[in-house]
Amino acid sequence: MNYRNIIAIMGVMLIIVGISMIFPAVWSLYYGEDDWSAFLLSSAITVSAGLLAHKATGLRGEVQHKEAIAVLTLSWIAASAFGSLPYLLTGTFVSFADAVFETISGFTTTGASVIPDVEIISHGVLFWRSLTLWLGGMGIIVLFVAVLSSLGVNTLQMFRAESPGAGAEKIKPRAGTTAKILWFTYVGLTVVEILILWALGMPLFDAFCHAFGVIGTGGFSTKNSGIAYFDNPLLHWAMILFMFLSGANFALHYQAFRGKDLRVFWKNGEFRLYAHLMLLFTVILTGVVLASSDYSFEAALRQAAFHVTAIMTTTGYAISDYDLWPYFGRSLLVLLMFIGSCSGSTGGSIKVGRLLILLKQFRLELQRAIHPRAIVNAKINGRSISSEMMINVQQFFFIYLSITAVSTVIISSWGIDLVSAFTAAAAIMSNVGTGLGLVGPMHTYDFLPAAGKYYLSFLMIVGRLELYAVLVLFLPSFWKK
Amino acid sequence: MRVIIIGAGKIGFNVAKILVEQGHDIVMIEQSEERASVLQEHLDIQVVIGNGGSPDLLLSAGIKEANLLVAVTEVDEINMLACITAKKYGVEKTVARVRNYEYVYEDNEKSVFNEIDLIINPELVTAREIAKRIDVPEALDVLYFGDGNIQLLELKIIEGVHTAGKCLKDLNIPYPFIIAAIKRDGDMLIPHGDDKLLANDIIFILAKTKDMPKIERQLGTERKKAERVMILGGGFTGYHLARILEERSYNVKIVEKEHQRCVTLSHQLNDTLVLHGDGADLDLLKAEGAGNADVFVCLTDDDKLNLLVSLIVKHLGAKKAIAQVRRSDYITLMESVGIDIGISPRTLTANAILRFINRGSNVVSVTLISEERAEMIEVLVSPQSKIVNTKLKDLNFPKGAIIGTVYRNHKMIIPKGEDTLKPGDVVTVFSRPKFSARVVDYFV
Amino acid sequence: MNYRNICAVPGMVLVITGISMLFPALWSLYYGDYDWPAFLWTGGVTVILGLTLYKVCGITGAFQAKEAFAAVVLSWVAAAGFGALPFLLSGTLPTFGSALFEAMSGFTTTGASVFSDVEILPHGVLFWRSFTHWLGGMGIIVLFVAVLSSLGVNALSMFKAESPGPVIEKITPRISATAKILWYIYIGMTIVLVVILYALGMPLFDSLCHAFGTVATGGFSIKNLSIGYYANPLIHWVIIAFMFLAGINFVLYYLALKGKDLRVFWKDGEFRLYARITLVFIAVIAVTLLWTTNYSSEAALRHAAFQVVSIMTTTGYATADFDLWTTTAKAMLVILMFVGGCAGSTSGSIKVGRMLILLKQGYLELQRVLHPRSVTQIRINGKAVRPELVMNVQQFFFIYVFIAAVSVTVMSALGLDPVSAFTAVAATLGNVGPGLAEVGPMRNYALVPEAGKYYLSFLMLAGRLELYTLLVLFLPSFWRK
Repeated sequence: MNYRNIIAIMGVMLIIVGISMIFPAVWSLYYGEDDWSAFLLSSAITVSAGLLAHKATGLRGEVQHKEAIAVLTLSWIAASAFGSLPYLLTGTFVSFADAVFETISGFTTTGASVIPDVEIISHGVLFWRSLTLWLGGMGIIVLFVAVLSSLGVNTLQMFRAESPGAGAEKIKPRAGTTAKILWFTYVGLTVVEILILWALGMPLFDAFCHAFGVIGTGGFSTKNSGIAYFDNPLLHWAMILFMFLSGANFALHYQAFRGKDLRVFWKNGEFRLYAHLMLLFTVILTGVVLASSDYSFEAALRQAAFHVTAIMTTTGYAISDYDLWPYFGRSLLVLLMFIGSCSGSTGGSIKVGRLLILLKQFRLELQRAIHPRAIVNAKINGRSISSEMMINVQQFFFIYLSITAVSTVIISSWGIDLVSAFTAAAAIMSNVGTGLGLVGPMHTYDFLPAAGKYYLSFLMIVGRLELYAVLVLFLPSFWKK
Repeated sequence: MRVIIIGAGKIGFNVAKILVEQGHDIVMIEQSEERASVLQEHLDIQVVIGNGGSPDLLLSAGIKEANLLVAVTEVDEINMLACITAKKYGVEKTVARVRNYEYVYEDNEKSVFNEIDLIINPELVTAREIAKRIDVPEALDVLYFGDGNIQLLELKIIEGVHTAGKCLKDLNIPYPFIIAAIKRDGDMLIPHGDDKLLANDIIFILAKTKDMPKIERQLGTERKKAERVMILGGGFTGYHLARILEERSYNVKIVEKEHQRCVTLSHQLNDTLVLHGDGADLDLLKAEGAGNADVFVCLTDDDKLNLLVSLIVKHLGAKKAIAQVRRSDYITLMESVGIDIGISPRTLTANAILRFINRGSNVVSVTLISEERAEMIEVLVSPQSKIVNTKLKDLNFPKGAIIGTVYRNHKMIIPKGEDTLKPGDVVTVFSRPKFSARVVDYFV
Repeated sequence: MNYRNICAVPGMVLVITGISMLFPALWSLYYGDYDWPAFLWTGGVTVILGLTLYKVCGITGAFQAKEAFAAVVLSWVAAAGFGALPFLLSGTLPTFGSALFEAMSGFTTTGASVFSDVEILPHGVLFWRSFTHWLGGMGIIVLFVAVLSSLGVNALSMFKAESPGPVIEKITPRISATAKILWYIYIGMTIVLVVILYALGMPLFDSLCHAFGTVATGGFSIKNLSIGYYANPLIHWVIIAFMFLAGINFVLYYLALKGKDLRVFWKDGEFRLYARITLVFIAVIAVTLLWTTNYSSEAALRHAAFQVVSIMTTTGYATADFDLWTTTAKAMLVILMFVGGCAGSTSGSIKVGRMLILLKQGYLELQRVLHPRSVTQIRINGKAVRPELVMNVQQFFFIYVFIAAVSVTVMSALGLDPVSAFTAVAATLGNVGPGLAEVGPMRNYALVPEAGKYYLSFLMLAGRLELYTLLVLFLPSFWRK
C-alpha cells in the first residue's frame, strides 16, 4: 500500500473542493451578506491543505488497485470533513456532527438535512449546500465510469457504455476522455434546467440551487416546504422531467446527443424497465391519490408523478406531505426507495439494472426447477451475464438488505418507532434522504443524537459507493502489505 | 440386502436398476457429481460422491452393513482394491470388473486375491456370448439349463413359413418342447394352446438341446452350421472371440487397423488369419471374402463404424452380421435396419453380475432376456416347499410367469397341468422381472 | 403431463387427513363437547372422496418433475381445504376464508389464528388445530412416502418438492426408509415432550396440544395468553429447549443416534450459526429487557430466550406481549422472522443454511474486489458449494424478499398500517404466526379482511413449500405439453 499516492490524490480533490467554495462567497457578496469571508477562509484552508498534501507526497508510480479503492472512500471523507468548514465558520452549525452530516448528505447527493429552518439561512450557505450535491453528483458520474467499473467494484460494468478503461487493474489515462464527455453532458443538462426554471418564474438563485439538487438527484431545497413553495404546475412538470432524465444513464444521454437518435434509450433494457416502473407506479399512485383526496386529475397525476420520480431517482424533493397518504401509497413509495435509478446516473439505491438482472434470473430459476438439467443464462441487451456477475449482483442485493436491516435495529436504539427507523435506514442507504414518520418529507434528521448522525453519514457513503468499495476497507487483509 | 456399487457407468446403472426393482437397498459411489444427480433423478438409491477405493468413503457409504459390493469403475485397480477393503469389513460377496486379463490366472479366471468372489471381464463375457450365437446362428439368443441339456432359443418366425398362422396346439411336433413366450410388437405374451403364431413373432422355445435342431426344422427355420467367421477389430473382445472360435475349429479371419496390434495377435493366436487394414476399406473386405462369410462380427469401439461395416458386408452377401453397440438403447433400431444381432457388452456384463448375485441356495441361475423384459429363473425345488406334490394346475401361479421345463434325474420333462413337482427337481420358469421374487418363493 | 398421477397423490393425502379427524372427534366425545359430529362427517366425506380419487386415478408410470410439483401443491391445497370444513361445520368460524386461513395456518405450521378467544372453543376444534400442525410439521407428503414405500423414485421428486431446502440428504438408500426415520425421530421427540410437560403439571390435553405446536414449530395455543398462561418457569424453559431442538436439521439427530456421537451437531456449520445467532439475540434482547422493564434477571433471560427461540424457529408461541417491548427488541425479532431455523427442520422462513451460504459468499465477494482475478469457492462443512447452488440460494433470498415486499403493499392496500402489514406478511410467509401491532402476539388476524385472509393463506403455503414449488405453477410453460 502506497499511502503517499493516496494522500496525493486526496490533495487534488481538496483543491477542487476548496476552489468551489469561492462560488458561495460570490453569492454572499451579491446578496450583501456578511459570511463571504467565512467561505473565503474555508476555501483558503482547504486549498492550502490540498496543496500541502499534494506537494508533500506527490504521485509515485502508478496507482495500484488497492490504493484506488482506498482513495474512493477516503477522498469522500476528506472532502466532507473540509466541506463542513463553511457551515462551522459561518456559525450555521455549532456541532461538528451536524456539519459533517449535512456535508456528507450533500456530497453523497442524499439530501437529508439537519437544518430545521432553511429560510433563515444565508444565501451563501444555501448555495454551498446545493453545490455539494452537484459536485457529488458529478463525482459519482465520473467515478462510475472511470474508476468504479474498472476496479470491478461496481457490479454493473455491462451497462457502462463504451468506456475505454475496462478491466484494467490500474486507472487508465483514457478513462479521462470518457469522464470529460460525461461532465459535458452533466453540465449541459444543468444549464438547460437552470434556464427553464428561471423562465418559468423561479428566481435565478433558487433556479441554480434546485437545478443542482435535481441533476445531482440530491434534494436540498432553499425553502422549508420544498418545491411546494413554488406553486406552478409547469415548474413541477419541468422538475419531474429533469429528475427523470438525471435518473437515466448519462452515457445514454451522450449517445443520444452524439448520434442524434433517441432510440438508444429504448434499445436499453435497463432504461425500458426504468420507464415502465415509473409509469406503473405513477398510474397506481394517481389512483390512490384520487381516491383519498379531492385533487383534480391533473393535480393527482402531478402529485403521483412527482413523488414517484423524486423517490425512484433518489432525489427526495416533495410537493406535498406524502406521509399523510393512505398506507398503500406510502408502502409503494418505500418500495421505490429500494429500486432506485439507472446505473450510470447520479441516483443511488439498488438500481434498476440490478433489479432487471434479478428478475430475469428469477424466471430462469423457476425454469430450472421444472427442467433440472437445463443450462440457462440470463441476457441483458443481448449480452449474456456471466455467473460471476450474477452471483455478485445477487450478493449485492443480500448485503444491501442486511445492512438496511442491521441499521434499522441500530437506529431504533435511539428511541425511534419502527416505521421511522426502517425508512430512515432505507432513505439514507439509497441516498433518497426523506422517509416516513419522524424522517418524513416535512421533517429533518435534527432530532438524532450525534452518534446517530455519524452512523447515518457513514451509511450514506456506503450506499453511495455501492457497498463493496467501503466494506472492503474493513477486511483485515486489505491493510496487509 | 444392502449393496454397494462403485462406478455409475452403464453397467453400474443397469445392475442398480434391477436390484432396486428386486427390493434391495443400493448405495452407489460415483466420482462425477453430474452423473450422481442423474442417478438420483432416476433411481431410488443413495449416492455418495468420491473415490470408491477410499476406506473412509466406503465407511460413510455403510460398508459395515453391506452384504455385497460390486466394483465396476473403469479402473481395474480401484475395483480390486475396493473388493479387498470390503472383505476386511465383512462384506459377504464381492464382484470386480477387471478388464486386463494379465491380472488373473489364465486357466480359471481367478485372482490371486480370494477376497474377490467374481471377476468379471466384459470383453470375455462379450466374446463368449457372441461365440454362443455363432454356434446357433439362426437364434437371436441362446440359453442353456440343466447342465447344458436344456436349451432356450429366441427365434424369429420368418414370413412365409408353413407354421405362421397356425395355433400352437396344432403344431404337431413329435418332440417335447414348450413355447414359453411370444414377443409381438414389443409386447411379451405368455401363450396358450389357442394362440396363433404369426409371421415376425419372436418366440422363446424350450427343449432338449439335442432335439432342438429337429424342432427348428419342423418350425421352418433350418439350422445351418456356420464355418467362416470374420471379425473386425482386434481388441480384447476380438482376441477372446478368435481364441474361442479357434478351439471350436471355425475358420476365423480377424481384421485390425493397428499394425503393432496385428503382430501381437498373430503371436497369441494359432489358426486365425490376422489381417492388417481399415475396416471401412471396401476393397479389402471384398478381397478377403467378407461377402462369403457365414458370420461377420464388428467389434470396433466405434458404434457408427460397426453399424456401417455391418450394412456393407450384408450388402456384399454375408449371411449374418453381429455388431457390438456401446449404447444399448440403439440395439432395437440397429436390428430394424438389417443388422442381425446387436450386442451390448455393458448389458451383458450387467447380466453376468446379476446372475452371480441372484444365485442362492435354491436359485441355480437367473438370466435376463430380451432387454430385461423377462427373466429365466432356474430353481431347485426344496423338500419344504409348499408346492411339492401339488398339481400344477392347482398351483395358482402368478399370471406373468410360466413353468417351462422340469429337470429330474437328468431327464427333461415338459410338465402338464396334472403333473406334480418333487423335491430335487430343477425347474425353469419364464417370468416378468417383477414377479421373480414371488416365483422363487413358491419353490423354497 | 399425467393428470392421473397428479390427482392420485392428493387423493391419498385426503385419506390421511380424513382419518386424522377421528382423533379430535374422540377428544370431543371424551369431554362431552358438541363438535364431534362435525369431525366425523367431514372425516367420512374426506376419506371416501380421497379413496375414490386414489382408486379412479391411480399412479401410473414415473413422475415427471412437473407432475411432482403439481401433485404436492394440490395435496396441500386439498388438505387445507378439507381441513377447514370442521371449523365451518362446528360453527366456530363463520366464513370459508377464515376457516381456510386457520387450517392453512395449521398445516403450514404458521400458527396465525383468527380466533380472538380460543378458551371458549370446544376441545375437538382445539385438538384439530394443534393436530394439523403436527401433520404438517414433518410434511404430509413425507408421511405419505413413509407409508407407501412402493413409490420409489417418484417419492424423491415429491419429497424434494415438499421440502426443497438447500441440502437434501438421503440418509438411507431408500427414500421411504428416510421418510420413516424422520417420522420416528419426530414422533419420539413429541412423546418425550408430552411426558415432560405432563410431569410438570400441565394437563394431558394441554400437553398434547402444546407438544404438537412445539415440535412442529407451529404455535397454536389453547390459551389466550399462549404459553404465558402457565406460570411455571420450568414449563417455559422446557418449551424453549424443545423449540430449539425442533429447529435443528433432523438428519443430525439420525447421525448422532447412529454414530452415538453428539459432536455431529457442532461439526455442522449450519447448526453452529443457528446456535450463535440464537445466543447473540437472546443476550441483546435480555439486556434491553433488563434496562426497560422491572423483570428479574431470570425472567428477563427467560422471556428473551422464549421469544427469540419461538420467533427464530418460526413457532410463534409467546410468554410476553413483545409488542410492548422497545423498538430495538421488536426490530430484532422482525429480523429473526426472516432467518428461521435450520434446513431439514420443521421450521420455515429463509433458513439458517441459506444465510450461511449468503454470508460466506458476501465475504468472498469482498475478497474478489481485492483480488479480481482470484478463483475461489465457498465451502460448507468442508465441501465446496457449486456456483449454481449459490445462485439458487441468492435467488431464493431475492424472491423471498420480493414476494414479501409486494405482499406488504397488497396488505396495506387492504387497509393495514405499515407495521402490521409488514409483520403480517413476514410472519405468514415465514410460517411464524404472530407479528407486531394489530397482528401482535396477544392479538390475532380476525381483523384482516376476507380477501386478505385468502392472500395470507397463499403466502403461508408459498413459504411452507419454499416458493419454487408453488411459483412454478404460474409459469405458462409449466402447463404446456
